[in-house]
Amino acid sequence: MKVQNSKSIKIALVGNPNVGKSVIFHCLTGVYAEVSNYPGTTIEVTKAVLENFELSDKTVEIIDTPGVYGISSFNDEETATRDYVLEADYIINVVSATTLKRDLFLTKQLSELGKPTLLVINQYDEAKLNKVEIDIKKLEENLGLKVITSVAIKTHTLKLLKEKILDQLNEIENNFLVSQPNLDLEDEIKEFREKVLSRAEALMIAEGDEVIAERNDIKLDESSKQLRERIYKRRRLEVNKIYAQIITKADFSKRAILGRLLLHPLIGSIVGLAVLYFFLYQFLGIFVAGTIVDFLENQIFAKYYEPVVRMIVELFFNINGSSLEPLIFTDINTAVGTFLAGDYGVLTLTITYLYGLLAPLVFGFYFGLAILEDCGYLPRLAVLTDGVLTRLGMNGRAIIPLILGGGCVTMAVVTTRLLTSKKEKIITMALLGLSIPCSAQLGVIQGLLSNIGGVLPWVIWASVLFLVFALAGTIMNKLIPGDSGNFVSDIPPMRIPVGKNILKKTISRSKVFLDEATPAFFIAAALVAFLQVAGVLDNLINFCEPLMSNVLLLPKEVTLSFILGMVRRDFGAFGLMDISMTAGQLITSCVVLTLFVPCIATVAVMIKESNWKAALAIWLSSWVLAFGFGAFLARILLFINFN
Amino acid sequence: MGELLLLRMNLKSIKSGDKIEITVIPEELTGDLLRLGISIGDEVICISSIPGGPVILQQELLELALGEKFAKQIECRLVENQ
Repeated sequence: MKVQNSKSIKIALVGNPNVGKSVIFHCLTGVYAEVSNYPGTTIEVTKAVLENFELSDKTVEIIDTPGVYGISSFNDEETATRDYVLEADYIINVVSATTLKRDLFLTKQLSELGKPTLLVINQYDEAKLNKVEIDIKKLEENLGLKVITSVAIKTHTLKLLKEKILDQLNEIENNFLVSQPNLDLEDEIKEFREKVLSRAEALMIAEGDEVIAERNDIKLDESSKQLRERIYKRRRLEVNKIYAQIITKADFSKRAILGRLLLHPLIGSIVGLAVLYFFLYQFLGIFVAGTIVDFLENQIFAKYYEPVVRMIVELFFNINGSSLEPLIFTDINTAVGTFLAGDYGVLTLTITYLYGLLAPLVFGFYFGLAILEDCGYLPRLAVLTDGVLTRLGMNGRAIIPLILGGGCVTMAVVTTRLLTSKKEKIITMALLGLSIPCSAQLGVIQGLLSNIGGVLPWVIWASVLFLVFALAGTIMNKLIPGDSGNFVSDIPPMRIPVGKNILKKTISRSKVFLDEATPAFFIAAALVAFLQVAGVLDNLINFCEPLMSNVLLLPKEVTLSFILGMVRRDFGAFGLMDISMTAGQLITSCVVLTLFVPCIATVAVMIKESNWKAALAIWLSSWVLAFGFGAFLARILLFINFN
Repeated sequence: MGELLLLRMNLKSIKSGDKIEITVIPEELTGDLLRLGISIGDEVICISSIPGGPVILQQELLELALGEKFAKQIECRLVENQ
């Protein structure tokens, strides 16, 4: 196999969603690629160079591609995978032993591309539970590919697997021309073969891939669609034939009961609500926001960290903690001291807030999410919510970005890429901006609500949110033309999560979040501290008083939370804990804050993922919704005398 | 009359536990389903059907959810009643 003009050999790791590609990637490279138990997780590809291993005297780079059911351009993930596959010198195709019949379609397609390909049958242990036995030799003969089996979830077998894969790569390198896979479809691709660079591209064009056709200045007509169907049908038929030959024994009568129960309409819904309640209210609200944050903030930071910082700053400057006077014009020394270590000081408040409050909440959210993800609950939630989401102009797939929004709305907006139709994308994005609070905010809000006592405040908050969500979705579904996209999803088996993976995933996601949040926080805090010492903060709060007290029936101090919330959504929850409010006011402010505008970072990503008009529309409507619903709710709560 | 109705069944008219044979897949869905391992003539078991939502099918160890709109366009024949 000759490699033209490239410094390193590229190997694409390709497979259906949820077959364990990322685990095998990790096994080969030691690099942690995000592992998830639901389809569509790998959006950004991860690449890494293999250490101490060379092919044809060149370094080897492995690319972990998004999971797909075939190489084509049905959606963004497929387009990405297709391009990496076309570029690759070698392919490692990972399939699951439990879903071989499905997975071999992709395998067959890959083998027809004419690139050296290694097939790894993963999750062999799971298949063995159902007494599935595979005739590996026969499979190799039929496909003309080298095949190895693996049990990827156990660490000690991973090392062995790596050795096996590298051995096979060496073998393939030496023998590819000898053991060239059976390439068929020659008639179908003949027409295009002369016009394009590679056999792989010719096959893509024969299968009606418009992008590749366009790149080669080839026009596709209606007949190309029929050609694709013919090729697909024939491939499926061949795969089914091979499959029938290689499965020597199997017993599919054994059922996983839990996974089934969660798909039952009634039981599934009850469990869904229970999960929501325990995860948000009990875990995030009472345990993380209550117990842990309370300990960190009040015991560690307030007792040890802040006094020390203040002491050091006071060696050089004066501090006038709560002053709202324009110190900057009168007393520059005190102004600097207050800027650094006053009530809103960049060294005091920001650090306490970042590490005492934000970090544990973000960590808590991602920890819970990782468990839900790795046990395979999310695809089931997608199935259960598909009916409702379809009526709001989306479909079950949208549940993934919507839930990720509970971690960080900005990151969730990026994942709307995995939705196929424009309509569902824009609606999901809008609902994320309008009604989904991000983790830190969510945590503080859960904490506040649980402080009021009883489940009722939480139920009120959740109901208003749900109402806004449903109302905004219904309206947008009516207004925005287009199709909400079709929902087809495979449902991976429920698995017991592996502690190490949960922890890795939680840490890596929290880190991404905090890395992004930290600088933005310092800027926001510096701004507020500056406004304070410049004396503007007080004016601003007084200026907004009518809006707060007349419209929302809230104390004027809440203004600060809203201003901060515009800069960083999670920052907005700050301060609410310290303002004394009635139960009704607390619920109102929690609701308004949740509905209030998405932060600057989110708006920027929204503009990038759609356009500025949509982003502006979302931003403005959240003002209207937040204050409209807030004013309404405040009056209802007052009327029923909810204190 | 009853027989006629049986002949034109779609995936949303079956119940959990039913074993069915796929008889008609509309053209626009063929590609997707072929890749997922489902083709005309396949026997599958319905493991759940959410009212107003997807139907969930099982073929060997593969479990697959199809949205309501999809499911209504796929016709089938009852092989075995639960």
